[in-house]
Order: sequence, then C-alpha cells, then structure tokens
Amino acid sequence: MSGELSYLQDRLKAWGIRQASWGGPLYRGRATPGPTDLALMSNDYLALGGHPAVLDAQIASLRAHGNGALMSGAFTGDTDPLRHLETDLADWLDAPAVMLCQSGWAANVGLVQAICPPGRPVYVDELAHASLWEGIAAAKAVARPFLHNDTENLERLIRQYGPGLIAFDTLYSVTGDFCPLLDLTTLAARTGCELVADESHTLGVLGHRGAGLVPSLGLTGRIAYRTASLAKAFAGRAGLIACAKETANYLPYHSLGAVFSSTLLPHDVAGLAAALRVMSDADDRRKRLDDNARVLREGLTELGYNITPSESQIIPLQPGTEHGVRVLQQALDARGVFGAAFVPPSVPNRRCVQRLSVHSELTAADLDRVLAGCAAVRDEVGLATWKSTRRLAAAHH
Amino acid sequence: MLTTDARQIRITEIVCDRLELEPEELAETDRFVEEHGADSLALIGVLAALEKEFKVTIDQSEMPRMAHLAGVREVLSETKGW
Repeated sequence: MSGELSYLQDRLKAWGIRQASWGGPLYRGRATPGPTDLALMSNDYLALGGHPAVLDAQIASLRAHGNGALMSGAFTGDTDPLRHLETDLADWLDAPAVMLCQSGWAANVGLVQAICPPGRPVYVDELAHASLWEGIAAAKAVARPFLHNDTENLERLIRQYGPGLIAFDTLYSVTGDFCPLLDLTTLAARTGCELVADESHTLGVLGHRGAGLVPSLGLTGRIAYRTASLAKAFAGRAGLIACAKETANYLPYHSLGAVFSSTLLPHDVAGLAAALRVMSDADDRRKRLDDNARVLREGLTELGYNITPSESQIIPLQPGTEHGVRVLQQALDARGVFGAAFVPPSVPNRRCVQRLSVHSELTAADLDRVLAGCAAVRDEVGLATWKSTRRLAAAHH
Repeated sequence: MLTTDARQIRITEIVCDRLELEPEELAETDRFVEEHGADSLALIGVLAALEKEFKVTIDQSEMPRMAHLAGVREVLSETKGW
C-alpha cells in the first residue's frame, strides 16, 4: 500500500473511532428541524435570508441574466453590477475600496497570500478564524499566535519577532466576545504593524447603518484591511476585502482564489445589494437582535450555564467534550432547540461547544422556549459536571 | 515572588487549564500531544501563558522539549529570570 493510501486509511479509521465515541450522530444522521422548531444554528442574524426584497431581487436577476458569464473576477468589467456593489459597500464601510470575493474564506486566504511576503511574522489571535491561518500558510509567512485578546502577550511577541501583520476577528464566532480593537490599533501604530480585522459577525449587526465594529469606533483610517464573510447577516454566499484603492486593484490579479475561481453569480450580487439596502435601514432589527441576545445570555446564566466570555448574539453552551456536545445537542433537538455543534478542528480539543446563534426575529415566546428547553435538560446532560460549570463555580468563591 | 513549591504547583495549574485537564489526570511524564490530544496551538498557548505568569521569555524553538510537565519544568528552570 502506498504511503498516501495508508495515510488516508489510518485517517478514515481514526474518524470512524472518533464518531463512534460520540455515541450518536452530531452532523449527518441528526434530526432535522421541523417548521415549528427553533433553528439557532444560522448566522442570518437579521433574518434577511427570506426577506422579500432580497428574494425578489435575486429572482429578477436570475430571470434577466441567468447564471451570467461564469468567469474569473479578473475579467469583470467596470460597468458590471458587481463593481457598483463594491462601490456601494466601500461607501457603507467608509473604506477607500472594496473587493468582492466568493466567500469569507477566499477573502482571508487571498488577502494574506497576496500581501504578505514569505518568512514575515503574522501575529494571529489563537482563536482567529481558520481562513486567516490558511492565508498565512499560503503566503509561507510565519504564524505567531498570541493569547486570545491579550495585547500584552501580543506586544511581547512583536518585540521578540519584529513588525508584521496582526490578524484577528472583531467578534469571535464560537466564544461570542469582541476583540480589544482600540488597544490593538494603538499597539499596531506603536510597533509598526498593520491590522487585518475580520468583521464577519459584526457587519449588519453593529454600528451606524450596521457597518461593523471598526467604523463604530471611528477607526476606519487606522485599520489597513477589513475582511468579512457575507454569509452571515448579508445572508448570501460571498466575502469582501476593504482596503486601499491601489490594493483593491492589485488583488483580483494576484489573489489566487480570485484569479483561478469563478466570481459571484449575478443573482448573488443582486441579493447582496438588496440586503445592503435593507440592512442600512434596519436599526429596528439590530435593536431586537441586541435585546434577544441579552435576554438569552441572562436567562442561560441564571440557569447555571457558563456562557462566558460571550457578549453578543453568539452564545456557546460548553460541555467541553465531543460526547458531551452530542448528549446536549440530542437533548435540545428533542425539545425543538437546534444549535450548532463545534468540535475540533473548529475549536481546541476539549473545548467543544453547542453554539446558539440569536436572530432579530425571535419572539419572546421563542426565547422562553429556548430557556425552558435548556432548563429541562440540565440534569440529563450533566450540566453540573461540565468543566465550564465548575470553573464558573470556582470563580464565584 | 512565589516559593519554589508554589511555582511548581502553578505550572501544573496553568498547563492543566490550557489543556482542559484536571491536575490528577496529568502525570509528570504524560505526553501532552500523544496521551492527551493537545494540538500545536494548545502547546503555544501553554508557552505563552507560562511566559505571562512568570514574566520570562521562552523561545518557541524550545517547544519540542516541552512535551510533558517534566519538560516544561526543565525549560522554565533554564530561562533567564527564573
């Protein structure tokens, strides 16, 4: 047997053993949410995925343009609706320019690969999105991870290894906490570093017209690169990079994902443009999202769940082990509360969570139902024995 | 500054905290990766947390030696300012 084949056989065997250890399905084979169930696994924070304006725009575009030219974005012309959307997004973000990508993954990998020289340090928060790590690997740069949200540790590393890029999420997709953006910006200026801020989970959610954390703190001129997946509040399938004009003109011809993979389809662009219009005028939805998230965080805390460090619409229930997550997921699914299981490689080993993502259109009755479900399963899932629960108890003593 | 014994206890606590283990689950020569499923990022986290706690600098090239608690103690004992 060749080395490659034996490698795969070993991996398949390990994967089988691992899945068996869960004692039931976590993904495929799991119950499907019914129409009356609460789906809290989605990142559609403003519930725009089914918004009539978004759907109508997509349908009209599909009928008018079909699937478009099906070509690399390197060939996209100046009058293409995609270019108009890039301009509108740049205005909205208060950024010099925006380049649209096929996904948030493509944005982060393509950006870092295209701007970072081999061997250069990239300081990356230990919990930053995997796409940033992949970009570092693609650039053959050197990842220098720093402790989560710890600017003291980061400064120490910069002093040791010299200036470079600093890459982080502005809102973390599993833990639900924000980055210390002001401190990061100050540190970058003091040490000659440039910042890459992934705003995937804040666009639409925070700030004036929902333009994210960076503009809400008045830092647009001090952060060289902003990236995002538009598969969250934008409810589409795309990503973006906000940067200097010159860089945005360079990236489509140097970011390998942009050059060698077809660009967005016309109805993707139409849907995103419609979502941008709705989102820019959706303070009511943002307010409801904020309220709903707070009610759920406070309710869960009162029930004894340790949801720290969440301070947002992303709320992790933290059994720790994969088996623990499977038991919790099954118990909550049975009560119509469908969250998302996060196990390695999405989280570090033994830090597995069942994530509940809140959206703006959940009603008070929906939230009551989530809390009632979480209350009912506490003994069944062994909440008191979770390490996260014991950590919380220890912190209170 | 903590006494020598207290520092050794603190090392165990920090490693266990980063690896999500109870102190009684981690023997002195248990290998973090092979026996407790730690990934490379968790090991970098161990290093950074130790640096922060004890205000020392450990080069990331020392990581292969920090494969178990005994190795961590040995590397730390050799650092400047320990």
